[in-house]
This record gives sequence, C-alpha cells and structure tokens, in this order.
Amino acid sequence: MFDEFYEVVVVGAGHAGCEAAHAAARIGLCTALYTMNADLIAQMSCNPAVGGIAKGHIVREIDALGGLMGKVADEAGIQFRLLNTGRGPAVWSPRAQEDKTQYRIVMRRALEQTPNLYIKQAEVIEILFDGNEIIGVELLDGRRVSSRAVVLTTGTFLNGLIHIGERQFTSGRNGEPASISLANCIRNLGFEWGRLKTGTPPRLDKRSIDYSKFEEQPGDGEPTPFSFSTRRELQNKVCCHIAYTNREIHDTIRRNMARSPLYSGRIQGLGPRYCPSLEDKVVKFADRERHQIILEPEGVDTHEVYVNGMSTSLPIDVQREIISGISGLESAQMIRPGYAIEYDFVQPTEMRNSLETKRFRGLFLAGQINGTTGYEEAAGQGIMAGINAACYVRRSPPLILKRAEAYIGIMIDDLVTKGTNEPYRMFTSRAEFRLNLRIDNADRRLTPVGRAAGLISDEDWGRYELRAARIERFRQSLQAPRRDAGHDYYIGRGVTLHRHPTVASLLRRPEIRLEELIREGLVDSAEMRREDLSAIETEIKYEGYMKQQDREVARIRKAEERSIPSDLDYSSMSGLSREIVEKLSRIRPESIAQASRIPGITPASMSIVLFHIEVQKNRVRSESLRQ
Amino acid sequence: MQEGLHKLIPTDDTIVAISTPPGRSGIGVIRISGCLVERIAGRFLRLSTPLTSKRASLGKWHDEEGTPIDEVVATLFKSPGSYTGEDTLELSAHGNPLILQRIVHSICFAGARIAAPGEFTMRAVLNGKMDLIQAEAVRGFVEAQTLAQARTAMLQMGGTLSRRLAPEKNQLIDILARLEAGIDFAEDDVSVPDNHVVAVELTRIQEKLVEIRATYTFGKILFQGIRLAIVGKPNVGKSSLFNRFVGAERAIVTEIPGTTRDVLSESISLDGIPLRFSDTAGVRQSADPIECIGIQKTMEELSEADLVLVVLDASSPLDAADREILSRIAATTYVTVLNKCDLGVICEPGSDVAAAIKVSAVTGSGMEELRNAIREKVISNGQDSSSGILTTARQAENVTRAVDALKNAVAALNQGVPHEMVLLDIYEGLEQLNVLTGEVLTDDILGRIFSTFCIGK
Repeated sequence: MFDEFYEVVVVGAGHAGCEAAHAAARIGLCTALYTMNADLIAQMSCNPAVGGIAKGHIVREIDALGGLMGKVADEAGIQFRLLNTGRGPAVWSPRAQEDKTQYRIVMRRALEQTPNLYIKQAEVIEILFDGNEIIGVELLDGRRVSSRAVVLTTGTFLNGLIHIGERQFTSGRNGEPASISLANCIRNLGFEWGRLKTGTPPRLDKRSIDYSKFEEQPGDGEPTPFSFSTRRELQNKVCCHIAYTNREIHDTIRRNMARSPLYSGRIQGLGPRYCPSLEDKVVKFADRERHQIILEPEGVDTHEVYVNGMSTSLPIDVQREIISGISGLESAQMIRPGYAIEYDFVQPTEMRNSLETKRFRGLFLAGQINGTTGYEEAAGQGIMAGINAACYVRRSPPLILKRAEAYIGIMIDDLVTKGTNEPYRMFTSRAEFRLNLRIDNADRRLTPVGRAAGLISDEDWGRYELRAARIERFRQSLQAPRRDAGHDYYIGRGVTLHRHPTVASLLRRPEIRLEELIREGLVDSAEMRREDLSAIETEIKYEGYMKQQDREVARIRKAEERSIPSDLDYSSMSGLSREIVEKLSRIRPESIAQASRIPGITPASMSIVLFHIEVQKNRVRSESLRQ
Repeated sequence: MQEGLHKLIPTDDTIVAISTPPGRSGIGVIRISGCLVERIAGRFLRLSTPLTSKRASLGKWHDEEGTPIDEVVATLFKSPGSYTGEDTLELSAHGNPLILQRIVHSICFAGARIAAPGEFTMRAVLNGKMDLIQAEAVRGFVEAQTLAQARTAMLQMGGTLSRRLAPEKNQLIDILARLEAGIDFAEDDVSVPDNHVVAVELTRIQEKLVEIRATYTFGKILFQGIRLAIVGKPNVGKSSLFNRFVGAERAIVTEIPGTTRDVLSESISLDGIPLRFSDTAGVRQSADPIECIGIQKTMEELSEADLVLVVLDASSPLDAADREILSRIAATTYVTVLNKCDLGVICEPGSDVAAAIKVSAVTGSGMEELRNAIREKVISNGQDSSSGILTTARQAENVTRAVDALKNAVAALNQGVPHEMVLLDIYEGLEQLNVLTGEVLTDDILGRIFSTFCIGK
C-alpha cells in the first residue's frame, strides 16, 4: 500500500520546515523533508535579513535549543548589528543582513549533514488518515509515503494568489507554483481556516543607484553573533542605506489608489498592521511628510537590492514612478516588482500547545500556515513542531515551553489561546516577563531543555557548561569583599565608601557603571561578552525590578500547574455565561493560566472554573478513599 | 504585559474580611487566612493567655503605631485544622464599624489583602477541605460571585465607575503604547518619549486617581448608609422627631426627661441613600446609672455619626446644656433643628451656630425643609454618585495600589531607570484599575501603537 516509509514527514523546506526536519532527525527519527524545489531550500522570500528586536531573541532561543537558524545566519551574514543597546539588556537584540544565496547553501549543507534526514523533491497533494490518526501522505507522482507524524509548513503556498496592480495569478512565492491540491485537501479537513495577506517590495539593480544621496547604515564595530557556538570573527561586508519618500510620491500613490488591489477590494485577506504596504502608510498616516526606506543588499555576489519599507501591490508602472521619485533612485532599474500575496491559513486555536492539531493525532502545523509572519517566528515553531512530532512518535509527553521561559513559548501560547486574524509577529511587549527573557541567558533558559530533548551535541553541551561556569565565577567575584576596590578612585570622585565594599555594592549606586570599573582596572572582565556584562550589571543595579518579576513568575507558575482536565464540561457549570462556556469549550485551555488569557474571560468566571475543577478533584479523591 | 494575570486571584497570600454584616452589632467578627496570620497576630495582638490553636484568648488589638484599638477575643486555627485549611485567625471585636475597619486596616498594613467574595470558601476547596463544606460550598461560592457582580454593577450605576476611570486608563494605555513603541520599534522612525514628559503625565493621572479614591468616603455612605445621630438635652423632642422620620411610634415618648435610655436606631431611605437614624439619650448630668451609660453611648454615637442633628427647644431660651452640646458637635457635620416651633420661637442659637431649621415634630411642619437640609449636607459632603464612585474597601485598595505603582514609575523615570523596567510599574497601575473594571488589554496597547505610529518595513 505504501511505497516509502518514514517516521516523520515534513512538508515544505522553508524556515519552519528546515528546523522541524532537522530537530526530528537529530532526535533520531527517520525523517523526510519534502520540497517542491530542492534548489530553493531555506529561501528568503522577503527581506535579506535575520533577527531584529524580539525576532533576534527567537533566533537565540532556537540556537540554544539546538536548532540551525543562528548558526546559518552567522555563517551567511554580511552585516551585523546589535539593536536597542541604548536600553537595558533585556531588549537588546541581534540582527544581520544575509547573503540570500549563501543562506540557502549553508542551510542545505547543514541539513545534508544531519543523520536520519532525507531531502526529497516532490509535491505532496494529500494527507492520509486512518480515522483521526495520520498514516502518511500522497505525492503528485502517485507515490504513497507512510509516516507516523506529518509536519505541515506550507508558508504562503496554500492557494497562494499574487496581486500586482490589476493583475492576479496563482503562485506560492515569486516565480513558484502554488499548492492547490494540498490546500483543497486541508480545507476539507474541517479546520477553521481563513485568508491572510502579506507583501514584498520591489528589488532594484545596485549599479543604477546613486548612493551618494543616502545616509549610510554601517554594521557594528564588534559584531554580535546569533549562535552561542559561533567562534569565528564575524565580518561586515556590506552597508545599508537610508532613504525617504516625499510628498510627490505620496500624491502619486493617492492618484493611483483605485488601481491598488488593496483598496479596490480585490484583496480580501487581512495584512499585518505592523508591516503595512507603502499605500497603507500613505492612507493611514496622511499627515506624514515622508516615510523611511532602507536599501539592503541581497548578497555579495548579486547586484540585487531590497527596498525595505516599500512593500506594495500597486501596478508596475506606478511602482516605477514611485522609485524614480526618490532622489538617488531617479534612474534605478527594477529587477523584480513588489507584490502582495494572499494564502490560506488554519486558525491556530485548532492546535494544542504542542502544535499538534486537536482534530488529528500526528498532524503538526508550523509557520505561516498558523497565521504567523517572519522567518524567525516560522523557525521557532518549526523546531517545536519537529521536537513534538518526535515525542508523538516515541509516545513521550510533548515539550511545551512556558511563557516565562521563552519567546517561542509566548508565541505558541498566544496563537493557540487567542487565534489570530492578522499575520502574527513577535514583539518584546508580548512578553510579560521580558526582563528574564534575554539574549544572553537564552542558553541558560533553553540549552538544558534542548539537551534533554536530544538536540544538543556533546561538544555544544561542553561549551555551554564552560560558559555557564565562567559567568558564575564572574558573578561571584563581584560579590566578594575587596580591600583594594579602588578607594582612591572613588574618594577622588567624592563617593563615600564603607570598609571593604564589594563590587556589587558599588554597582548598586546609580552613578557607577561596570564599564567604568572595568576601564579603571577594578574588575577583570576577561572573556565575558558585552551582553553578559550588561545583564549582570543590570541584575545588580535593578535587583528590585528583577525580584518583582520573579514574584509574578511564581504566581503564574501556580496557575500553570493547575491543569484543566481535557474533558471538563463547562456547560454544566452554574455561573458561567453562554459566551464564556462556548469559548472555553472551543479552545479547551490546558491550564488555569492559559484559560485566563482567553480574551473575554472574566476574573469571576476564572474563579468559578477553578472552583469546579477542585471540587471535582476532591470528589474523585474522597470517592476513591471510600472504596 | 500582564497577560491575564489580573484575572487570577492569588491563592497564596493572606486575606482578611469582616465576616459579620455591615453596620453596628454587638460583636463584629474579622477573619484572616494565610501564611502571615501568626506574624500579624504577633505584631498587633497583646494577649492575657498565649495563643493556642482552637482556643479563644482575650487580648487587646493595637494598630500599626502601637495604639490599642479594641479588646478582642482571638481564636487561632492552625493549618490544616481550619475552615480554609490555612492558618486562620478569628477576631471577635466590638461590633463598631469604625473599630472593625481600623483593625482591618492594620492587618492590610502588615501585608494582607481584603478578600474577594467567596474567597475563603474557594481556599477551603483548593486546600481539599471538601469534607467540611461539601457541595453546599459550590452554590454558596457561585452565588457570592454572581451576587458580588450584581451588587457591584448596581453600585457602579451601570458602569459609571468604568466610565469615570476610562480617561485615566486610556492615558495609561497611551503612555504604555509610546514607551513600548520606543522599545519594539527602535529601528523604525518613531520618536522616543521624553522621561520628563511621561513623568508629568503620570503624575497628573496619579492626582486624578487620588481624587477618585476620595469618592470612597461618599461611596461608603452610599453602600453602608449614613449614620445620623439625633442629639440634644433631655426633653427637646428628639424622640418625637425620630418618630416623625421613621413614621412610627418607634421611640417611647413621654413628658419625663430621660425616657430614652438606649440608643434606638432605624433606617429610612433618602433619595436611595439609606439613612440610619439613631435616637439618643438626652445629654445631661445624671445620677441615674442606667441613664449615665446611655449618655456615654450618645457621645460614642456622636463620634461615629456621619451627620448630627442637634435638637434645640425653640420655645425656651438657649441654656448652658445646649451650649455644651453645641461645643461638642462643633467639629462634626451637623444640622441645627429648632423643634417645638408650634409653641413659639424664643431660642436664638447665636451667629457661630449654623442656621437652624425650624420644625415641629408634633405638627410635622418644617420636616420637608429638614429633609432638604440633610440632603444638601450629604450631597455637598460627598459627590454626585452618578459620576461613578468607589463603594467597597477592595476598590479603594485597588486605587491606592494603582497610585503607589504610578508613584514608583515617576520616581524611576526621574532616576533614568530603563523603560522596560519602568513599564512594570505602569502595567501594575493599569492592572489594578483593570481589576476594578474588569477589562483586558494586550491588543489595546498593540492597536494603539499601530494606530499612533507608522511602523513597518
């Protein structure tokens, strides 16, 4: 009946699919990664960059768990910046410009070097079930592939429809066919599904741009890697450039609004509020005189330049007019036009926290099919779906990251608890315990988790332990009393010191910075990373805030630990409104904490649910005692 | 962002509540449950016999400054042998609302929190005390929740409190959005708000909240009613006036001065506000020991009253006893009443005494004017209840906590603490207001960011 046999099948080799396949294979399961074009594995379909605020956090977390994205982004990176360093270390986040071609090559090499992983070029057209249990997939060429678990990471391919001006055509990604058969198969599975929209800007030819008109945006003098395992020196090979739109361009856009598929009603899917097209910006912020645009090179071996900030689905002639209206781009040649794309997604409330669907055992979803946007968000779900597909096959409990533990945990919890009606992107403000979720401690938070899951090699584990010990030593050195702690230096600055101050006690003073103590030779920072120093300094200086956060973490942990039986009957609970009963029955939260995050659930209804659960539990307990 | 956190009632802190119904009674019971119980008892309770589990001890309760408040009977129930399963302390004090509130205040000062409706029962269930309360508890708890909701809804006049707090909440969300945008969209072309500007805005919100908190003085009156004491020297017709108000021969009226020995009380409704009238024994020097106790009680009643009606005899001139009473009530909110006007008006209270209302309890003349005068005092003393006021101690506590959190935020901004930390305090402030009005927000803040700033590439 089946032609090929695997334990895990991953459909789609984008950023989610690569991590999912790698994770499942690394854990030891025989894994097949299906892609419609094996030359386009890990294609960066939009901007040539990885990371950014909150997204950089996710990349660190993937790396700490044993995933690939951080390592690949470091190797294929051509310009590195650490963002938000003007603030506390909790919101520092790395970002890098990537060489797109190189990124594909490095990722494919990493996958090829992964044991148990088989890359396959074929189109999956159908998912095969036995009852509500996955048994495999069917390919366009007629082969049937047996698999215990399937991870769908279809990106924008499901019924993908590209819009450029008045024209529209089916496509999965620029120049690639859409998945129509698979989309129809998924629509027929009974999931709540919908349409989302995203867009991409035009690409220009570098040689036709007058760069003298733009402000340079260089990389950091000391690049910060994504991966904890990156040892080599990172190098900035390119520069980005900052440009602005102007009033004339906005007028051009307004004049052509009727030709925009976004405003003529041809696009039905909802786009992200935080990644609006240029026409959106002009309409919604009509009083702005200019909008920022950043010219980002797509690689070192190509002349292609990405026009960040100019995502548009206006007709090509209008796109050309807009570009030539920018000083410095007057004679710019357009290599590819911008476009908008609509695609199917499955409402993520259809999933459990493990990313397995509630309807079908063994079917996992990750990436844009779940309504998210961004390479990092996709990869973060990919690694979790891969791990949990492996857990499912091995009949071990799923790995679920908590909100207090990782941005990835927050993202998945948000998705499965609240669903989404626009492409979901991560922000640090989504994290209630932001101070603890830093890039410097991603390894401390997650590497032991990754190790337990079987994703961390002995070599990486050894490195992790060394690093943890080094940081702990440094931390303790700051707590040790010092007779010599630079008395003269402080007395010279009018600071009154108690006898034998510790460096930590000095750091508690707002005016004293660790950086200064290091510069003055009072503290030896040997081998400590900049982000670690900043995190340790902040922990000491703002101890009160850290403790406040810890108390809240403890409070929420209690509520997380109060699990809700999956068969709880909400409709029989007196005191709950019908609307709340309906919501709770549909989402089926796994813990009291998750239930509290469902929009529209009131504090009183939370208490009632908690009360009923405990009463039921007590009743069962006392009955079993009696017997 | 405090995602859903405010919807979860903490289950490991210490809670306190007055468990006897509001108003005066012989004994008022306060119940405390949680891990701080013994520490609180050790701090405020001076005992004649040491506290042992399940044994009542007599002692004195002191406030946080060490001043004795009342004599109490304290009973400690050690975990798990208590109703809630936690350490529990039951205090029986005198049933005087002021005293009970002062005791509760000192307990909150030591780190406890005023309990939500049904919360003691909920803890009992969470701690597996099902054998004690059984299914009865479920109904009781659910009723407490629904009743509390209904009562709050009623007292908040159909969401007027929510509406009143809306501008402050809205401004907080606005500030949160701006600070968050500065962090999350540092790469975009957004302007980072200046610390000083935000501090000024937060201070203004804080001042508003202090104003709103002040409405609790009136809200308490609305919720628990106004205590109105009728005082005067014997035989000026206090009891007749009382009966006029109450509309029944409630007090015994005789010609003999000093007939009323106990404090009688009765409630009527004035524009929906419950008025609790207390007719008191006439104030005079007396040799009769029973009457003496009555007079002492009168003075107590005076100190607790929200409004005092001073009754003078219109038909006889002001004497030393009247002056004595007038001097005692000078510091309270009072209305002067000239009774027995049907017998002619001779009495002149003097210019330093508030204008007197002329009535006759016998004929009923002037009663409408007196009602108006009371109404005026009550309303001018408080606020217009239709603009939303705080009516329970829990609500006042939430607003106080919000004010404290915003104070911390302002101090932190002035010290240049990074925004991601200052935000913790601002979120805490908003969370406290959300507990009051029961609304949620994550997407409010993101929505605000996206509608305020042009973000995205």
